[in-house]
Amino acid sequence: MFSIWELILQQLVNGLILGSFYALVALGYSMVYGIIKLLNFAHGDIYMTGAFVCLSVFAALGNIVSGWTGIILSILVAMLISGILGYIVQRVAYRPLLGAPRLSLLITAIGVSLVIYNTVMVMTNSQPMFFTSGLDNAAGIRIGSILITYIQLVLLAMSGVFMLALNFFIGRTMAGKAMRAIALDQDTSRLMGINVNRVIGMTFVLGSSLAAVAGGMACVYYGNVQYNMGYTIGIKAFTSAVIGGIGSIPGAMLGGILLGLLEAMGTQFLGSQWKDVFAFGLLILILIFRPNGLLGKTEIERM
Amino acid sequence: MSDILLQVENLETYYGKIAALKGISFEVREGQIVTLLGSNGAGKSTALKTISGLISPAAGRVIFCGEDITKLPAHEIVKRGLVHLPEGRHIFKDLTVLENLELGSYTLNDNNERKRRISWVFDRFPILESRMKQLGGTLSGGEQQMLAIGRGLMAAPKLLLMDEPSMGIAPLIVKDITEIIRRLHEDGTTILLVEQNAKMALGLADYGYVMDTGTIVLEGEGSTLINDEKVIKAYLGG
Repeated sequence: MFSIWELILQQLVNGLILGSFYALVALGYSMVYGIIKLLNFAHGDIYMTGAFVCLSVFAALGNIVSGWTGIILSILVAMLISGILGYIVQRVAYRPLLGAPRLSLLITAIGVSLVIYNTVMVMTNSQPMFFTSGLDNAAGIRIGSILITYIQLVLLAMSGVFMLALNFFIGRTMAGKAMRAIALDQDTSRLMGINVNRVIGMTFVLGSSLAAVAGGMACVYYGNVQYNMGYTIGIKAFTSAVIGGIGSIPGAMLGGILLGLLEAMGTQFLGSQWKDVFAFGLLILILIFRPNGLLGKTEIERM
Repeated sequence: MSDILLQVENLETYYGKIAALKGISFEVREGQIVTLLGSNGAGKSTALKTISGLISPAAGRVIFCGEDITKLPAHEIVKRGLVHLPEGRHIFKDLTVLENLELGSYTLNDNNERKRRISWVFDRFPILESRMKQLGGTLSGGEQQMLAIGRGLMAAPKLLLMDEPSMGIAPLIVKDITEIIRRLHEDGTTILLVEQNAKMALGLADYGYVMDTGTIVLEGEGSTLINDEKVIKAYLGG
């Protein structure tokens, strides 16, 4: 039998993985919101597209490379394609509307989401596609009566590496500093010589490639990919971003991990039918007591 | 006489249907401090924003170093050495003092040169060095103004547009700011200064223009304007 501690450890790992998915997708939401104050509802569909690209590339690589090498290659290609898709969406649908009221931008985002969603639905005949990684699901570290698989550990490490890389990029590079500057004050950023449109484009590329990492991880972890997989994770990632403080990069990571852990624990101890109640209950509580999210900043005006 | 660095010709700018600039012309020569005076709403800030590319004009031309920059986007204009310090300082509050300075030299690709300029700014404003890890928003008004000026200098400007550097700053610190501007001038930086504090501005300026509701109504050498009856009456509280 499982002891209570083993169950908690098991759910801790499950929750961390789920949380990594949320966090990777939430980062894109949060970065885009931070920089142009848009809730990019098409972001979940970019994640879904990333998963399909990863699956297709992995299948095409077939006998040439397999296992983790194939998976990582497929994820890199998915990042590239999703990044380009994110850029095109931004360039075609959002940039012409940057001067328009935010509501127009929001409606456009919903429109873009429907376009991607329906295109993939038609292309795949609404059928799920299956991803056979060929990896050993039973290999891993056994602690007492529970098993933490190598797949889980590699996926965790992978999301950790990408989040660290993003943190470095945002914190240390001039391009990252420009992103943060634009989020604070667009006109002054232009006076620094920052090409604001180019940095906005770069933000979409970054956010979309991170969503593709999550999409690729979903292929490996769940083994199937479907046109509507972006919907729920989109909402959950958005929730994570709000919990952490939308616009805040560490906030998106924290919010995602926290939500993942809570859902896993909620599933274990209250039953899986309660996990969404848990997630959105948390959202409502946060919105009541910390409307700016856990790491969101309150505006302080100083003259 | 020295060369003309900036030439503004018949510049017209609108906010919707309201004319903020009704065709103004003026020039700034190399090494000068030129000031634009005028009351609130005269169009001084609009003039600076139009020159630096934040707003596009309906008509007229802006010539900088012999090049027509009227249609260039703001980030391209900065690259040419025309640097605009906006009204209200506009420090990036959630970025550190050091990051603020670094962004001032965003168009620079040479990291060593960036470091050299930072230490040059720190030499001038030691207070910024002691606060370099602090967030910009935690500085006092006067320190923020020094940071704003330092950040502008990071771009190695040929021409500095300064919009109300004395605004919202304690009177004692205004003296410091005045001294900083005087020193910049001595170092050969050309400055176009917009001020409501006419006394301060005319004390510094080689040449001045007085604006009223979008037009230039008076011009002359700083020392002449400071004794002009109309100027005294309107702006110096005489």
